[in-house]
Amino acid sequence: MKPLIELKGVHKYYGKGKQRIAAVRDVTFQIEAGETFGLIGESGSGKSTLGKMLIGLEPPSEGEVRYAEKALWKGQSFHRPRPGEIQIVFQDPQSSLDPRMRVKEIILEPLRALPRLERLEKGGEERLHALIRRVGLKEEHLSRYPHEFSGGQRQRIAIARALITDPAFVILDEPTSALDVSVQAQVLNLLKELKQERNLTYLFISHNMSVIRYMCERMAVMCKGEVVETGTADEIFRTPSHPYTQTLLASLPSIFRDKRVEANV
Amino acid sequence: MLLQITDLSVEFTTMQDRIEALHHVSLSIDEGEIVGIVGESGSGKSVTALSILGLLEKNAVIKSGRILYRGTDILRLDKKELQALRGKEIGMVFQEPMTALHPTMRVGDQLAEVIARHRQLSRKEAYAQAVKSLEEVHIREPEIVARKYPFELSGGMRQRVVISLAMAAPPQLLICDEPTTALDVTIQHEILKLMKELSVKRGTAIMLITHDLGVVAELCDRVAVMYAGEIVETGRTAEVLQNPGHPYTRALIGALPDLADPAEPLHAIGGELPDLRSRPEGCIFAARCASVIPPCREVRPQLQPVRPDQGHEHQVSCWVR
Repeated sequence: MKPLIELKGVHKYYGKGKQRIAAVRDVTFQIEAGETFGLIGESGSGKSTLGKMLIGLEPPSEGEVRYAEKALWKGQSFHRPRPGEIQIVFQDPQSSLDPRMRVKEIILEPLRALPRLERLEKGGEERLHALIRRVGLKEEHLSRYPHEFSGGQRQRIAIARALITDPAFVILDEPTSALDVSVQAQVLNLLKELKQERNLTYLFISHNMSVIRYMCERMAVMCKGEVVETGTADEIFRTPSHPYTQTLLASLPSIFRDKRVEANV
Repeated sequence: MLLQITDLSVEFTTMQDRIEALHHVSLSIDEGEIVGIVGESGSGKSVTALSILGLLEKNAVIKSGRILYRGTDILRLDKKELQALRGKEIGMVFQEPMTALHPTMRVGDQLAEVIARHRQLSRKEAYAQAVKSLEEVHIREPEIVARKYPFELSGGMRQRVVISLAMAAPPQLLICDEPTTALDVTIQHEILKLMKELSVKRGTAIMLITHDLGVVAELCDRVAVMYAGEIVETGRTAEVLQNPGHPYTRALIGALPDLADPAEPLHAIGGELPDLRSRPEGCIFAARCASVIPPCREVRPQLQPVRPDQGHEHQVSCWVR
């Protein structure tokens, strides 16, 4: 089977001459259709830059980014597949939702990129109501503004907005990092269920090892712009082979420390 | 006993409402002890810290309680006496190191200023001390770093500088409000190690405020779990984490993804924080609790020893036993 996403020798530079910084260096990996692929790294490791390349916000400086066998970037111009096919959920629902729009407008906005017929079909009242209930909100919430909601509820709105176009691939860029743990658990469970129901493929970007462990089948570890290790989450957590991955795992404060040691043996 | 908070209630008044952010909180810290306060947003953990420091906003009213620091009630001190206590006796470290540092002053000068103030040294001696104290927080090439501005340093380095500022006096009690939340895990690990080392070496007690049970497990001797302005469980860290007595503590632990067993679905806590404008009559957690029994909604439980025959340290406020 051909992979859904293919990155080959991808570089990203910022600045010129002496000031040039390589944010991403020679990154190669593939994401299969139907899997959740985790991208882990600390701040500045380049993981969000890769997410931006896939959604069309940043062109790569070198290398190939392919979606369903087609190149997403030709030079500086982004060739999106079908509109709404790739969607994204950002970390901070405080800043990613327009404070002057009602929830209904926010959720329906991505449909404006779609052809008229499809827009009418997907923006139907019934479908919208089913979706808002599915992400755990109520119909009456549709007429409210973002500030009336808690962080967890706002992230549910952002998820509904991503799903309204019926995407095949969703980038989740630190979707629960701004949330309390009990709320994080709700949102992670919801994301897992939605993936099952809708046959989604996820790229899950996070700095949180245990969240990646919970969500992902395969993963890549990034450090200073490079992918230092890829493999199944099982493998990487049991037997991390790169020293950086080992340091990451050893730094993790965990109340499950004892259990983890047992799991390693 | 270094610090003893008894029956502290704090209320915030807004234009329309009165919100009780802390409700009869009691907590003590011994000399040299590291105590964690853990809770989610809105649990009142930061308000507790700000009350001790006398840094509450103007719209906050202390409704009841005492905060005894070595026998003196902090809540009765005037501005000047409080100022003398802060920094010298009680140091503080906040989440975002950039906001705690002067942006246009070199790191060494900032440190020297504080050291000169607390220890009556000349400027030159104070600067030499400043460089030494940077070395103590394991900053390599302290002479060079002392000449830098905060923006030239990484987040982890900045937090080291803030810690050495807070430890300059040195204080008897260090209050840390989410000191590592803005940092990467590898850096967090080093900062936690540093805090422990300083606490042991100087005998400084630490009150650590965090949302992260992992950080508590790593650093704290004892822990208090807060929910909606109340302490619902307290005890030795290992005891509380291994045998949590309160359904909220259990739920918090269950909500964490388990590295060893990722297939297990996470236990989310249903519902939302209660409306603090009017506290429910019974248990504060009853509305979201999975194991409610009849008294829960009517009578407020008090903190009681979990196993009275095994000492009084591990306490929980819950009717379900």
